[in-house]
Amino acid sequence: MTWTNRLRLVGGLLGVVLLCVALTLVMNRRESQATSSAATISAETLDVGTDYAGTVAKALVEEGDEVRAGDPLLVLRSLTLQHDLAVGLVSREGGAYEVAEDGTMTVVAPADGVVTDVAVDQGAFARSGEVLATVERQGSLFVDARLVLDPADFARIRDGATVTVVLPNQAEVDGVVDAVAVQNTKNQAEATVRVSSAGLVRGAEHGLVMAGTPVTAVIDLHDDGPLAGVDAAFSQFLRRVGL
Amino acid sequence: MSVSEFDRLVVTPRRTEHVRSRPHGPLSAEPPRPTAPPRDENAASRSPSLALIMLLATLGVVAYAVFLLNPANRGDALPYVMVITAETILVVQALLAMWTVLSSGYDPRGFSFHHAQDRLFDLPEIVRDEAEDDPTRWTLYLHDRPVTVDVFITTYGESLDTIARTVRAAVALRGRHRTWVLDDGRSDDVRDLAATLGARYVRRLSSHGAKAGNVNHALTIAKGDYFVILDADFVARPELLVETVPFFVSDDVAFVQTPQTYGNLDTLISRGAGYMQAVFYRFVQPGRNRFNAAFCVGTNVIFRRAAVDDIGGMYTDSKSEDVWTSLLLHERGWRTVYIPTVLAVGDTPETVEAYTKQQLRWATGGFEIMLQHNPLSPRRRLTLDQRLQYTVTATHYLSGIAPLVLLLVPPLQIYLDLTPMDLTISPSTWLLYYLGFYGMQIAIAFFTLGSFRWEVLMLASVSFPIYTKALWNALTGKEQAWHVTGRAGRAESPFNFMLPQVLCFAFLLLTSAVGVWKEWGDDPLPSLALAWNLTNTFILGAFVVTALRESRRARAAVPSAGGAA
Repeated sequence: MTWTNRLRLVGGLLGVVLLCVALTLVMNRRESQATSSAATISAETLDVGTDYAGTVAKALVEEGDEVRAGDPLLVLRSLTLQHDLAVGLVSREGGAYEVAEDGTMTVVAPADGVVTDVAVDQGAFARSGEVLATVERQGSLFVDARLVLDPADFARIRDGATVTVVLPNQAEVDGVVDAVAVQNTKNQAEATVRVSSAGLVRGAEHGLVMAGTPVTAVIDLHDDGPLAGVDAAFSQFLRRVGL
Repeated sequence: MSVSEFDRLVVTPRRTEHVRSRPHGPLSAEPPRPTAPPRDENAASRSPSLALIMLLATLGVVAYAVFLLNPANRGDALPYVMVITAETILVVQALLAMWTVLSSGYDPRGFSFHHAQDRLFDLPEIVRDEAEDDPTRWTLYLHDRPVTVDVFITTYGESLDTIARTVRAAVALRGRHRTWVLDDGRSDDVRDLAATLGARYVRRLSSHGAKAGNVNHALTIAKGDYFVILDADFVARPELLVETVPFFVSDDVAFVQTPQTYGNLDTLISRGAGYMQAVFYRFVQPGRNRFNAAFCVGTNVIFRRAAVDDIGGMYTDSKSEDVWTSLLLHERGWRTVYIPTVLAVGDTPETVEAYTKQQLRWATGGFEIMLQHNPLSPRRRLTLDQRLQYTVTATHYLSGIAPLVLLLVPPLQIYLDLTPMDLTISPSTWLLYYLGFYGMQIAIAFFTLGSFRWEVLMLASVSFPIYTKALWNALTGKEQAWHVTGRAGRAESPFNFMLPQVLCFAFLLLTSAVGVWKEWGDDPLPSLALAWNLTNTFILGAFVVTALRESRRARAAVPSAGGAA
């Protein structure tokens, strides 16, 4: 074999080895991740109701309004409450609402957040036990992800594992696994994973971050294979050089 | 007592001139046949069972195509497109080849041929010249007129022994002819050899146009009516002229091609290469004959000089001058004949180097036709049959590139989880479809050639770098330059010519290792992708081992050559 061709052979072999290493790292990365089949941003919502039936005297907020804990939401006028007050059955210091002398009742926001629903209009009659408004608690956005996994891969989902949430505009938000639930579907684990993230701020990313937005969640699986250390070192290296 | 050739000429009955001796008496009985009837040279091509097996194979191909194209089985886009493209080429080429083979049971010898053969020699003249014992002095007659035949042996640095064998056989051909050694190797030894053996020697000053240029130059000196071209390693049988010249009694026949047969099937490469061509020479060319599209393969062929003059000489602008010359002849309306009778035996490439160069030359020629001279274009004056057959020729080597695409599919699945087919069927159902195509192709090989050789399969699947390079060269119009600077006359290491295969082998080997590691402990049965990848690794590995053996043999033969192997 000529020397030129020997050099070409060595160079080519080197290239092949590098290509295989790169592809293996890609494969390893994919093997150590699970991608959701369906995921949605959800939020903790608080329903605001009344124990006393009455007429809505005034609606102080609209859907989308931001409220702080204790802010008045609705004013109700209730004859039953008036009567109960008169006979001293209830005191004026309630929890979720304030009661005035004249028997009007002001429903207040239970927590900081956003009004997502006002179920009654001014002048409407609200029955006892009815939900009047819904408040989405501030900072309570989380991702609800469903994954179909091999039983072996299911065992590799750990609480606190890193999750990358990809929004519809391909922006990424980091989060961690908060809670895992599972059920068996055709011998596959159909896992429901709750992902919490500090990066999920309502209205961020041009309004994309809100309850109901479909997203993709990529969960890092616990990796204890032979290449785990190498892979971690490689990712660290990539971060170091700024990729 | 042995029967001389002259005795045989005298006693063989002239079947086309059988006349009644007594018009009113009883019919004179034909003389009883002295020997067993001659064997049909290509019985399999005329067997009705061939039609049956082709029919079954067609069913298999169609089932396989339906299975591949079924939208329900579609997988990820990239590998799916790759698989469909490659398999479409393979399936279409297989169907067209089967169609051609089905047409191969056609015998071009008609009454006029036999009649001309009966009258080829003039007995009284032989007796008068006292040439009974020397068939090389018997003048050949067509239409009762003597014809002159030149036999060209093209040489280009072949070994003296090889040339001597060929020249000796050419000089001894039955029928009066002149033998010319056209030496592009410019060797004085060859000149002396030609003089000793009674052949004429021609050497030209330039080497323009390679072999075609060499022949064209000789045509300016030799003015015979017909000329035979023999490569330096093809030893002709004495009856070469007797079996071919009578075809020229029809004045539209441009050339008569006979098969290339090989005597040196002793290395793996030569067995694979030789066997691959056996199908071509025993079935495809006879089939093409029926389409009037049999093409010249550069050696063991006899041309009518007037036909070659009609197209301005042999075509010199391509390394595949033979196919191009045939194409131009067909466009001018000439007819061509192919007979599957073995009339010369030569050497097939024995080394990776020779094989690579040969395949590169042929494939480049095919792709050149595809790119520069599309046979389907309405500007060509060809019949539909010829258009179809030349399209097959031009695109045939694409099926040699298909393995490259197919080799890449299992790694895609191993590394990136991209699957070409989304299979909900069991592996055995899949295997059934697969065998419907590939299994039936092997069955055809068994039927037509009597056996199947895995060397063919191996060579076919590892030759993709050659064909890819040929396509590239044809696209860019570039001449292939080899990165080899060895001394002339010494065999080069095969690895100089198979870098891509070695690299591909390394890639597949590593991929297999990764695949095994990935699936370790998952399932005792490997996935389809891994199984394929292991098979492909094994095939390429077999080729690398073949090359290693060849290189060791070459080193053993030249012990003083040093470590440059």
